[in-house]
Amino acid sequence: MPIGTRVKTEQDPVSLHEYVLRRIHQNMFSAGQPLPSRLAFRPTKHDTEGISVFREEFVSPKELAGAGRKPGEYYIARLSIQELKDILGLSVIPDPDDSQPPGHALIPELKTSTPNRTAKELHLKLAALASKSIVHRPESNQNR
Amino acid sequence: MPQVQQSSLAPSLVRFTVFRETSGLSPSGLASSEEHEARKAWVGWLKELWDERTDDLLQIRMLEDDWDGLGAQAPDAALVDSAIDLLKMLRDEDNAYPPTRVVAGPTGTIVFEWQVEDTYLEAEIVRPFGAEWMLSKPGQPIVHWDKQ
Repeated sequence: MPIGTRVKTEQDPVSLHEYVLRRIHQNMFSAGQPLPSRLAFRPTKHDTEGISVFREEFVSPKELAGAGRKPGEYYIARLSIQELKDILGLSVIPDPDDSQPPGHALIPELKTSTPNRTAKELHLKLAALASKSIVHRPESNQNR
Repeated sequence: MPQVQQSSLAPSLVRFTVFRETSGLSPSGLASSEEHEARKAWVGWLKELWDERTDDLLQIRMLEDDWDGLGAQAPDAALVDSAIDLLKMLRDEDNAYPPTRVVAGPTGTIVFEWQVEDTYLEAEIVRPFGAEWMLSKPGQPIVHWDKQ
């Protein structure tokens, strides 16, 4: 490593050239349907600060799919920070969390308090964006 | 290819017009056996799809909290019953097409989705006998409405 070069940490701001990964439970996908359900992007009641995504610089799609309480049941979508900003007006902020896989970050515009109809429209647009870049599928659903 | 159109009587329904309203007679005055067979196959296929969606709801009834490992809330039994009632109502409508997907959400709601090419319609059952509808068509603003 060249002298003076600093290793990026999870606390560093997310740059526009980065990609983030989002776990989508297999129930949100169906054979023959072009889009995952928009519900894959709805916050749970615990997501008061935003929905979770993971910075690809810190975790691979396979590692992310194998982590958590239901390993092996997730599709992984890869989203460009630039596209999230330019197309949907969304931002991503770092949120390192020891209870989560590495690279945890949040999309703060999508939290439990986001107005319902606005949120639904954003979920739908995110589902369309995600459908273009599914980078990991559960082994039981390799052909979907 | 089915064409999507909204019913004027029940705007919440997507209807598919596959077989035009014609006499069903061929130019010679005899019923077309090919059309009869195609219609029969279509009706059988629709029945299968409606049955599949009912089965999906019965599976959703079995979900427990954290079914996705990400903190999802399981739907209440009363909400699932209401969704089953709505599905039956839709099924009883003439020419109604079954949802292309039925899915449980992370906050305990249930969504019926219709995805046909670039058109998207959904009914989200948010409480017993209460649904929020959303329709997205290419090049048009997204429309929302509530229905008891």
